[in-house]
Amino acid sequence: MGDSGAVSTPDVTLFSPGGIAWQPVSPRLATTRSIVLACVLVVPAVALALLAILVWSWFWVGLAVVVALFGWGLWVVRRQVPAITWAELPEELVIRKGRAFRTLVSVPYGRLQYVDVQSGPLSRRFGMAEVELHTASPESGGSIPGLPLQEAEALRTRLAARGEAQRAGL
Amino acid sequence: MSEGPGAEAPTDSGLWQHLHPLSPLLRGGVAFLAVVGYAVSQQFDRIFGGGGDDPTRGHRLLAVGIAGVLLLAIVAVSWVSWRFSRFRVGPAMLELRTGLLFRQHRQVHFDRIQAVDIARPVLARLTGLSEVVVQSAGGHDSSIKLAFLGDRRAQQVREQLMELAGRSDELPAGVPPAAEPPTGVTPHLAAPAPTRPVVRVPNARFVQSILYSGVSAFLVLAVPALVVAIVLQVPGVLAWLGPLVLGTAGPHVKRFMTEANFSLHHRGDSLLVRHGLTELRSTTVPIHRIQAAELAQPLFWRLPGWWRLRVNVAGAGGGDGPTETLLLPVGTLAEALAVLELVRPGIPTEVAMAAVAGQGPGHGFTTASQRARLFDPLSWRRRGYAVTPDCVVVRGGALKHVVQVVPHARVQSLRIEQGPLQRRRGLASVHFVSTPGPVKARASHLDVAEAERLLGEQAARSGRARQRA
Repeated sequence: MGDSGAVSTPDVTLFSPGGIAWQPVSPRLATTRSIVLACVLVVPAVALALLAILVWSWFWVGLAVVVALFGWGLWVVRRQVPAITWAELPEELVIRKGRAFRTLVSVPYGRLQYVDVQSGPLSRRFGMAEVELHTASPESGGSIPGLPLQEAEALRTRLAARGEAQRAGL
Repeated sequence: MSEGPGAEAPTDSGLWQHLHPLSPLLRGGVAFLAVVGYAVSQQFDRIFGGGGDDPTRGHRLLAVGIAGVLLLAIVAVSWVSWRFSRFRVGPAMLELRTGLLFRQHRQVHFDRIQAVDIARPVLARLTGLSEVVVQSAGGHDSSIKLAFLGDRRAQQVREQLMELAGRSDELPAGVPPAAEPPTGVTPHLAAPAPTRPVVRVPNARFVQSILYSGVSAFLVLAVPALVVAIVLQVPGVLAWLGPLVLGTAGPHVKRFMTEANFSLHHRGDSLLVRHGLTELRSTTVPIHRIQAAELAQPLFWRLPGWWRLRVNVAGAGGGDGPTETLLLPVGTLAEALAVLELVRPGIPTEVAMAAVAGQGPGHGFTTASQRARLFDPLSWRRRGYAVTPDCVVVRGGALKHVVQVVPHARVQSLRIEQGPLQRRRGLASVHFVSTPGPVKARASHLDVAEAERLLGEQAARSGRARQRA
């Protein structure tokens, strides 16, 4: 598409907005992630509780650890979800993630091979989908979880169109 | 999927062809040899063993009968396997059908062909046959093997495929980028282009290069220790030192087997790589498929001044070993730079020299922040990147020197990463993501502002380079 001076690329920054309209993902993502976390942890929790009742009361300590893990997981999820932001720039899609380990991925539209929209039963229930970008390198793609379904579809269509227009050979 | 043998009708551009009749036997070569060897050894036992323990216990006729039936069965299965393996160079793709019961139909479009190799395993070399391996873009299992064809036929098929792949590659979709200055050859009509030898690695140097490594220092101590332990029958040493020695020596022996007799030729717009001690392999790597290059010098090679050059080739990622990704197993700096110049021309000499041996800023290099000293006490001065008109040059490693070159037009995506410790010291690392392969370019521990500036500028540079492409 149009030519790309350095002018058209706003400052992409790891922390500050830097002149870009960063879009957050749906806060409901925190809910679904918490539910998944609870489902994973409920199995050892129940097992430990049963063991504590039937076998040895010291297993309550294990249960306490699991509960503490759950609390910590909730805290991490609550911190992580707002940290996921993304922006559509003229030439590339930029995704920021993470609080402790921060990453920023910038995927040029011309490099997109294809775009997936995935949505499991739980996230569909909450009206969300994940958009996954695939380039020629498995490590270079990015994904945006927790987009509202319509927005995800719209984003995929836009990305496909832009990818087609700016397609570059390998 | 399986229209069966009815699809054998000739088409406008290609007939279904059979592989060489000996191929099934060669493919099952080792097993076949083992059976024959076993039979022969049994005979030897019978003849020279005094007949004391005849394994057939007198039922010789039965044994011969069983052997005959087995032989017939092998021949029959081989024949069926041969009869139902056919390939075709069609109008747009190469197709291979195999199998009677479990049918398989593989196809690869010409514009997806990344490289066409010819391999000659030992058995095939004895019988004058070759295997044509067609590598395509895609996952691990996306190659087609035509095993086996007669040597000359294999050459023909390879030339034909290379030509077809090259031609469909020149369609608008995948034009080689203009970012590559003309290398003095026209990319089209590559067929009659002369073949020019570029590098040949003497096997003596290769052996030396293996000796000049930390592992060999270990082996120099361990092997005599092992021998002494065996001679003096020291208990227990063999049990742990033996496997350790085998484990450390094994990869080097394997490297020697695959990378010996190395030579690199330049023809038209591709590089021809030949190597292998027992199994000769020749690979053609189209230059415009090369995505990134890396020069590396392990610590012990600094004395003789040797370098190793590896590249990322689109579609060859993660395949079996270094076939397409190794362009120079061990070479002098001049040789390495000559090959690099073929792969990625136009790197200014002073930048190349600074990348190879220099440290600190200068010659266009931006180095890691001084605050990275804590993480990187040895190499923080050397770690850095430089930008040339065509590529990013990343330099790193205090003990093992590494220089990576990624053309602007080939950057797949950019990534900034920052761990908690880096964050406390205001650092971040920038990855220049390329296609899968041995080269993973990363400018580590830059100042955060510097990293963000690099990301923005590199995104713009790569975008411009892609559009010129």
